[in-house]
Amino acid sequence: MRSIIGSSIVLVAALAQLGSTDCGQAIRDDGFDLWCGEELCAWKVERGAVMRVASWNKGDYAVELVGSDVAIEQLSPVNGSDGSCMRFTLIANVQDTADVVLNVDVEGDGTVEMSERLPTSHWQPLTFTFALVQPYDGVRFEIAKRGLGEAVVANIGAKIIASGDCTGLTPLDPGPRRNGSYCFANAECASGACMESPLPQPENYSVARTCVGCDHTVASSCGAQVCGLADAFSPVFSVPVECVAPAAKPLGDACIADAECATNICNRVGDYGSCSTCTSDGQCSGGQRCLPSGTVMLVPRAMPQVCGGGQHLVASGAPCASNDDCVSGLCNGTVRSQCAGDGRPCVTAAECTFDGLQNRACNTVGIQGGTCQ
Amino acid sequence: MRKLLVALACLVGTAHADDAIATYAIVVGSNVGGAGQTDLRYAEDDARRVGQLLVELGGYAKERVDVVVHPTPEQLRARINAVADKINADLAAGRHSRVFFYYSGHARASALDLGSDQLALAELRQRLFQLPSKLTVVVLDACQSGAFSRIKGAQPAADFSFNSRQQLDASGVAVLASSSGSELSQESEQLRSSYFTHHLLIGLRGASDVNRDGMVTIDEAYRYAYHQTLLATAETAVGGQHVSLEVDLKGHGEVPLSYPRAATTHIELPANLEGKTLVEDKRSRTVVAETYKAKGAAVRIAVAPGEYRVLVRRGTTLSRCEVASGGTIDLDRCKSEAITAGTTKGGGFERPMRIELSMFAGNERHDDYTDNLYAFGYRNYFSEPSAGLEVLALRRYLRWLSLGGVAGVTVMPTWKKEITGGGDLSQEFDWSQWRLAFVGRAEQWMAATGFGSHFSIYGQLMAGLGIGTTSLRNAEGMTFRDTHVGPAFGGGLGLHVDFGRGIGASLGYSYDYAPVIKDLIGNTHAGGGHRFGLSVTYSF
Repeated sequence: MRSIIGSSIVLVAALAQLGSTDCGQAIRDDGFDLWCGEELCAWKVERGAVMRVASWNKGDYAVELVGSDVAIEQLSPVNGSDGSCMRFTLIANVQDTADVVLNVDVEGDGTVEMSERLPTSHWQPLTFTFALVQPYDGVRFEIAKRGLGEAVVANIGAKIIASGDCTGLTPLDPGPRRNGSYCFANAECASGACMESPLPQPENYSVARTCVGCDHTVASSCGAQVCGLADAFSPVFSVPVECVAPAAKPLGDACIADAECATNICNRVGDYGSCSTCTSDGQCSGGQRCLPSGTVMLVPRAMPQVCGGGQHLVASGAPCASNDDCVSGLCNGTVRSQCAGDGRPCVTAAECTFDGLQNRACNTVGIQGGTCQ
Repeated sequence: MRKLLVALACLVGTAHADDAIATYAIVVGSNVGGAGQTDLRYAEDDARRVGQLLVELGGYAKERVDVVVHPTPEQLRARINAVADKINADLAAGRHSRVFFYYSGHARASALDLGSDQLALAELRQRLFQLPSKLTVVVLDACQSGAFSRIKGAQPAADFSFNSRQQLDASGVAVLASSSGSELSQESEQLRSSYFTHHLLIGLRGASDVNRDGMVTIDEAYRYAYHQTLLATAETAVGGQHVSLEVDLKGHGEVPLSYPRAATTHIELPANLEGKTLVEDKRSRTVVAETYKAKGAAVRIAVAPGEYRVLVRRGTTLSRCEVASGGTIDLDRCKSEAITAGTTKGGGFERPMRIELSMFAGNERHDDYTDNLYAFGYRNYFSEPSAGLEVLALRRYLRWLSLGGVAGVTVMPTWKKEITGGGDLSQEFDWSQWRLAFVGRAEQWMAATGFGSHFSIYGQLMAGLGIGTTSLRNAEGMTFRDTHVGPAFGGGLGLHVDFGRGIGASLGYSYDYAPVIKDLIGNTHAGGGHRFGLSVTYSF
C-alpha cells in the first residue's frame, strides 16, 4: 500500500512537470556543475570572463564572474504552455562592491522585461517570482556584474510554479507576437494574422498555428513581393512566413513558393522545400535525370534537385548545389550552414547553443547559387 | 562478636537399639543480645528446628527434648539440674543415659549472653561435664564458641585428618562448636538460619551420611558441617567460619547423632546429579537443605512428610523440581530456566560483562547544513533513513549501573543532485559518522525471580568523539573526500530480554547529537537524531 502511494506521488509529480522543462526546471545546469574545459557547457558568456571555483564543497563548483563587466546568459525553451508563473532562485556570494543583476528577457529578443539587483549575500538563497503574459516562447536569463567586488554564483534555478503563486503580480509582457511565434488568435500577432504554419513546428510548440506576415495560400497576399520564408532566428520560434523579395533565393535555399527562388522552382515535400533547377526529368535536357543534389538530408525539408544531381554529370558552368553534382567535383558558390533542428544560419557550432549540454551541430546543407567549375 | 552459639550437650542414643539407655536433650535458643550486641533473628528458630530433628530422626522422645527459648542463667541452670536429677534416678534404676545440649545465641569468649545476663562458659562446661551421663554431646552455635574448648586447653580439630573410628568411644564428652575461639558466627538472611546450624541439620538429615548406612555419626556430621559452613561463609564480608570439634571419649563405638533411615519420607538426589541443590519446605517456606551435590554417589535427605521444592543449579541453568511425598529427583521432569544476573553473597555479579551488537535506523536531523544542501539542489528522496551498526561493551559496577564504551558507524542518507538538462548526469553526496564514546547505563530488572527476571529496562547516556566522513562525486566523475572530528553525545532508553546462557536482545530508542561535519561556507551538521535499534547481547 505504501509503495503504491509513493509511486502515485511520483507519477503525479512527474506529470505535473511535463513540458519543455526538466522536472520543472527551466534552466539547464542550474548548479554550474558542467564545465567544458574552463568554459561553462550550458551557459554562454556574453562578455567578460568566468572562473570555476568551489562552493560549499570542493567538488561542487560555482562560477565566479571575473572582472568589472561580465555577463552570462541562457535561453530557456520554456513557453506559455508550461505556465505563466515562474520562480527564480539563486545562491550566491555577492560582495557589496559588486553590482550584480538578474535580467529576464522574455522571448530572447534582446529586450529585458525585468531586471533585479541581487542584494549582498553570503550564500543565502534568494528568490524572485514573476508572472508572464501567455503565450510566450522562451525566456533568456542573464546574470551581469559590474564593479570589481567578488561575485560567485553557485546555483540558479528557474521553475514554473502554480499560477496562483503569481496572483497580484504584473506579468512581464514581451509585446505583440512576432512572425514565427505560436498563437491562438489573430489579435495576438503583430501582423494580425494567426494561421496554420506550412512548416513543421519547434518541439516546444503545442499548437500548429503561428503568427505570419502573409497568407502563403493566396498568391497575391504580398503584392509585388511573394509570401515566402524569412531566415530562422531562434530555436524557440518557427521559421517566419513573411513577404520576401521575388526570385531572390539562390539554388539550395529554403522555400515554400516557386516565386521565391531565382530558378523559379521550389522542390517541396508538402509545403517545405528547397530552390531547385528541376522537379522532374522532363525539365532536364541531354537525357539527364532530375536528382537530389548532394548527400546531406534536410528532412523534413525537401532537398534541392538539379539535372544530373549527385551524379558528377553537370558540366562546367552549369548550376549546382553540391560538389557531387559537377563533373569537375567542384561547385563554386556560397556554402550554406544551419544549426541542426532549428535552421538558424551558422558558421560554427558555438552559434547553436540551446537545450542541452552539447551545442547543436552546425551542418553544411549545400552550396547556394553555385556553378560547376 | 555478633553471634555466639554456645553450647549444647546432648546425649545421642541408639535409642531404639538400647532401651536401657535414657536420652535427654536440652535445646536452648536466645535471640536477645547483651550490651552492644544486635539481636539475632534466627537463633530461637534454629533451636526449635534442632529439637524437631532430634524427635524426628534422633530417636528422642518428644517429652525428653526440652526446648528452652530465651532463658535466664537461673532458668538454664535449673533445666540442667533437672536433667541431672533424672539421670541420677535412671542410674539408681540401673539405666545409663545420654545427653544432647545445644545452644544458639550470643556469646563472648568467656560467657554465654542470655539477654542482659551472662553465664560463664567455665560454669557451663563444669555443669555439663559433671552430668552423670554415659555420653554427653555439646553443640554450640555462637561466636567464639571454640573458646568453650580452650577453657580446658583442648584444641579444636584442625581439619579432616581426625579419625573418629580410632579415637571416638561410645562414652565420654564431645563438643562441636560453630566457630573457632576467635571467629564470629554468622546468620544468613537467605537461609533464615545460622550457617552452621543450617548445614548441621542438613548433614543430620542424611547429606553427610557418606557410607549410606542410614545413620549420621558425629564424625560425619562434623566433617560435613565443617566443609559446608566454611564454603558458605568464605565469600561473606565477615569471613570464613571454621567448625571445631573437641572429643574426650572412651571406647571404639561410633557416636550416632541421627538416623535418617528411620524417616518415613526421603528426597534422594541421584548419583548422576551434580550441582548446587536446595530443598525448600513449601509450606513453611524455609530451606530444609542446601548442599553442593557432586557426581558419583546418591544422597538421601530425610524430611518430614509434606511438599517440597528442590532447586538444582547447574551452570547457568536452574531446575525447579516439585516433590510431594519424597522420591528421587529426576531433572528431566523439572522445570528448567536460565539464571538471571544477580548479586552473590560476596558482592560480585554474575556475568558482569556485556557485549552488544546493534543495528539501528532513524531519521537524520535537519539543520542549516542540510538546508544548504537542499538550496544547492540536492535531494534525499523518500526520506531515506540513517542506519548503522555499533558495538557496545559494558561492565557492571553496581547492580543497576554499568559503565563501558561504544564504537559505531552511522551511514547517513545519500543526497543526490540531478544535473538539469544533463541527461543521466548527477552529483552524489555520501556521508557517514563514526562514534567512539563512553557509556553509562542504569538498568532495572522487572523482577528478582521468575519470568520477569528475564526483562529489564535501561536508560543510558554517552559522550565521546565523533568522526565524520564525506564523499562528493561530482558530475565530472571526480570524488572529493573530507574527514571531520568533533564531540558526540547521546542518550537512550531500552528494553532488554535475557534468553539464558548469557544471550539476550535489546530493543532501544536513542537520540544522538554530534556536531561534527562542516561545509566550506560555515554550516555544521549535528549528526544524529531519533534512532531505533535492535541488539543482540552476550553477557559473561
